[in-house]
Amino acid sequence: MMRQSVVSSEMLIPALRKPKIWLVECGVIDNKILGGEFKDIFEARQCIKDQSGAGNNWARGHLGYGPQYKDEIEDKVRQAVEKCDSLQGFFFLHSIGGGTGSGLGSYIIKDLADIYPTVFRFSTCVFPSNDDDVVTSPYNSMLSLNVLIENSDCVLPVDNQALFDIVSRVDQQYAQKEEKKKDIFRDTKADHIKDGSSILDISGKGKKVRHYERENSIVAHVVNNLTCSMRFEGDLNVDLNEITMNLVPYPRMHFLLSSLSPLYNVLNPKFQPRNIDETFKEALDKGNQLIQQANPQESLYLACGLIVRGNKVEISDINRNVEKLQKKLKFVHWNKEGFKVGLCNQPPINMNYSLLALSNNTCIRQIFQRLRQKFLKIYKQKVFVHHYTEFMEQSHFDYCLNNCESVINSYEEMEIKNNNLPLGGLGYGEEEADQYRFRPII
Amino acid sequence: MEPKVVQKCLLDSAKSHSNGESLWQYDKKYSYHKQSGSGNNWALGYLYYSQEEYEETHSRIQSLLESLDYFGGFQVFSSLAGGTGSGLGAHIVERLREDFSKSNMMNVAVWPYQSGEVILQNYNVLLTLNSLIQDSDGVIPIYNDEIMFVCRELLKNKRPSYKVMNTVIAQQLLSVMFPFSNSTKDKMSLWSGSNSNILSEIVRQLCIYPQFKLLSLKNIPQCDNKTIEFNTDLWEGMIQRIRQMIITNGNEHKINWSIKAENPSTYSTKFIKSLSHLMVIRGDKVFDLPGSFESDYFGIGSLYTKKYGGSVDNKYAYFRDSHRIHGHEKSIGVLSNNQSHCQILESTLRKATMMFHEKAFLHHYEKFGVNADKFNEMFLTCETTLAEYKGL
Repeated sequence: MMRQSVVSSEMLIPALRKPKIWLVECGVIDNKILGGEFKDIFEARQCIKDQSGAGNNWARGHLGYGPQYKDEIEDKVRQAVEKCDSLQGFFFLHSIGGGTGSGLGSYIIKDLADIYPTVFRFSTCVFPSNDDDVVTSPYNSMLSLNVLIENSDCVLPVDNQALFDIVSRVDQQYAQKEEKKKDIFRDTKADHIKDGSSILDISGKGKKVRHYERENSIVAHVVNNLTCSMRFEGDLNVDLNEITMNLVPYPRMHFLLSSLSPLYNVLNPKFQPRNIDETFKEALDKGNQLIQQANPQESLYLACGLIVRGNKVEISDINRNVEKLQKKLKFVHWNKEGFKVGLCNQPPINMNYSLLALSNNTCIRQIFQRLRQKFLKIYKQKVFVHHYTEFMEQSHFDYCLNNCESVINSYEEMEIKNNNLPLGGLGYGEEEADQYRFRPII
Repeated sequence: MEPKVVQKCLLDSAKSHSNGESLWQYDKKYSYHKQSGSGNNWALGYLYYSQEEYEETHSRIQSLLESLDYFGGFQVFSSLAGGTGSGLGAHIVERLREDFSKSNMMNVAVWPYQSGEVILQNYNVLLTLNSLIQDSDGVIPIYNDEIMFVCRELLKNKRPSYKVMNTVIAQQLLSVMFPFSNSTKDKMSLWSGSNSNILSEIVRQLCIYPQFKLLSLKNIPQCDNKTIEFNTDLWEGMIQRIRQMIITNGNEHKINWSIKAENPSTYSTKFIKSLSHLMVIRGDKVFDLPGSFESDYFGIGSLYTKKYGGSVDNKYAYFRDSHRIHGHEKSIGVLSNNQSHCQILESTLRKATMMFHEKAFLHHYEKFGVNADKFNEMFLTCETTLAEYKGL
C-alpha cells in the first residue's frame, strides 16, 4: 500500500477496529484490497472508488476529485464516527508524491479539520525517494506538504529509500546468520524454529515475499505500536492525544521522526531479541530511522517519545535507559528532560518486547530541504505547470514554497539559538539562575 | 478517567480481595470514568472536563458521606504531572472546598521523576500546586525519585514495579496516618474514634499559616520483610537518625552527619529549618519510654525558625501508640512543615520558566482556555511560596 502505485487513505477508529478506507483506482481496490489476504479487515461498504486515479496530479485529486466526492466521504466518515463512543483521532496513510493519496488525501485532511476541529489528525505519509519514478512528484509533495503543515496535528514522515535500505540490510544479516546456523545444525532440520502465525510473518513456507510488502510491514508496526495503548492496558498508558501534546512544542513543528527496534523481529520472527538496553540504543541509531540520512543524534532534540511494549519490562528498566540517553543526546535548553515514556503490557505478536521512538528533531528539516531543492529545480523551468493551472492559480505554488521555507527556518533558528548559548547557560547553575528568573509578561 | 485504567483498579482490588490478600476492595458504585483521559493536558482536565464530571463525582461522594457517622476529612491522592489526576483533581479539590468548607482537606501528590516522565510535567506540576496551595489545607508531595531510591537501596529491589512503589508510598503514609490512641494502652479506644482524627491533628499542628502548606514525610525504619526480625535498633538511635534525616532532607541510606542539630553555628544553607513537626511513635513498650523522650530530641530551638516566635514546645506534637505497624518492633513517622521542598521546587520553577520564555507548548493550553495570565498567576504563587519557605 505504501508504494506510489497503490495509494490509499485509511482511517482507523479505535472503537470500530475495522478501518475505513477510500481508494480511487478501481483495479487497485479489487485486486489488492478486497481480493487480497487482508480482505476481512476492510469493509467493502466503506470503499469509495472511481474508474481512474488522479494521474499523478495533485490538483486533480485535490480540486477535482475532492469536491466531487466531498459529500460521499463526509457521509461515510460520519457513519463511522457515530458508532464510536470515544473518538481518539483520524489516521491517514498516504503518499505525498502521487496524485490520489496526496491530492485527495490532503483534501480529506483539510475537510475533516473543518468538521471535527477538536479531533486529532495523524498522518503517516510516504515521502518520495531520490530516484522517484513520478516526474511531477516534487510539485505534488510541496503542495500536500503545505496542507500537512497547516491542517495536520501530527505527521510521521516515512521514506521509501530508508525502508528499502533497512530491509536489505536485515536481509543481508539474516543470510549471514543462516549460513552460520547451517554449519552448526547440519544434522537438524533447517526450519526447526516454528514459524509465527502473524500476518506480518512473511518469511515462512518458502513463499517468495516481495520486498515492498516487508517495507509496508515496518510501517504497519509503527502504526501498530503507536495505537497499542488504545487496545491493550499498560502501566503507563499513552493516549494518541498525549503524543501530540507532549511532542509538539509549536503548532507548526509537528513532524516526528520515527524508528523501530528491534527490527529483526519485525521482518523475521525467527530472531530472538537481545537485551532491552540494546534495544534502546538501537532505536535512536541512524540506520533505524525511517527517513534516509537523518541522524537525530547529531542534531537537536525538541522532544522525544518512547513507547515500549512488553510484559516483562518494568518502569525501572525504562528509567535507567532514559537516564543513559539523556546524557547522550542533545536537547534544546528549555527542555532538557524531554522524554515522554509509555509502557504497554502487551508485546506485539511473536516478540518479547518492542520499542517505538518518536523524535521531534531538527534534522527533519533535511527532508524539507531536499523537497525544496527538487521543487525549485523543475519550478524554475515552469515545466508541467499547465497541468496544475487547469485547477488552481499558479501563485499557490509560491505560497506553498514560502510555507515550507518558514518551517525549515524555524527548525534552523532553534538550532542556531541553542548553539549560541554559552555552555554554562545550558545548565541550571546558580549563576545563571537570574537569567531565567520569572518576570511577568505585561 | 480512562475506562481501562479504572477497570483495572477495580479488577485488581477485587481479585486480591477474593484471594484473601487484602481485606477490602473498591466499590464499583463509587467509581466514575469517561471514555478518554486528558492526554497530559492540564487545561483539558481543569476546564474542559469539569462541570459535568464534578456533578457526577459529587453525587457519589455525597452518598458515601451520608453512610458515615463520623467524617474526618478528605484525603485526595493524585499525581502532579499528568492531566486527569492533576487537572481534574485540582478542580475537584477546589469545588469540594466550596461545598464542604468545614472539612479537612489533605492532598497526597505524586511528584514525577526528575528525569522526565511527561514533557509537560513542569507546567502541570506548578499549575496543580498553584491550585492546591490555594484550596487545600496541606499538600504532601511524594517524590517518585525518592521512592525509587528507597526501593533500590533499602529494599534491595533492583527493578521495582509500580506496584512495589505504591506499597512503599502506602507504608510511608500509614506510619503517620494509621489511627492511634494517644495516651492509653487500651486497644478498644483505638478504633472508637475518640481523639483519633489524625487529619484534624495534622491541620491543627502543621498547617497554621496560609502560605506554608507543603508537608514532608519521613519514616524509619524502612527495610524488607526478611530483615525485620533482625532489627536491633534502639529508640534513641532511631529518633536521632530521623531527626538527622529531617534536617538534611536525607534518606535512611547514608545519613549525612556533618550538620549538627544542636549547634547553630554550623548552620549552612543545607540545614532544613522547620515550622513544626508531628511525630508518631509506634511499637512495643512505647509507653515505658521516659516522658521527656521526644522533647530531648525535638525540643531544641535551633531546629525551628525564629520568624514567628512562639515557644518551642508548641512546635512539635507527638503521639505514642503501642501497636506494631508492618511488623516493626519500633517505628517512627514524622510529618513536618519545613524547607525540604525548596530545592526541587526551585529547579522545577526554573525549567518551567525557561520553557515559558520560549512559549513552547502554550498553544495546547490556550486551546482549552488556560492563557498566559493563568501562567503568570501560577508563577507568582509558586515563586511566593518558594520565597516564603526560603526566608524561614
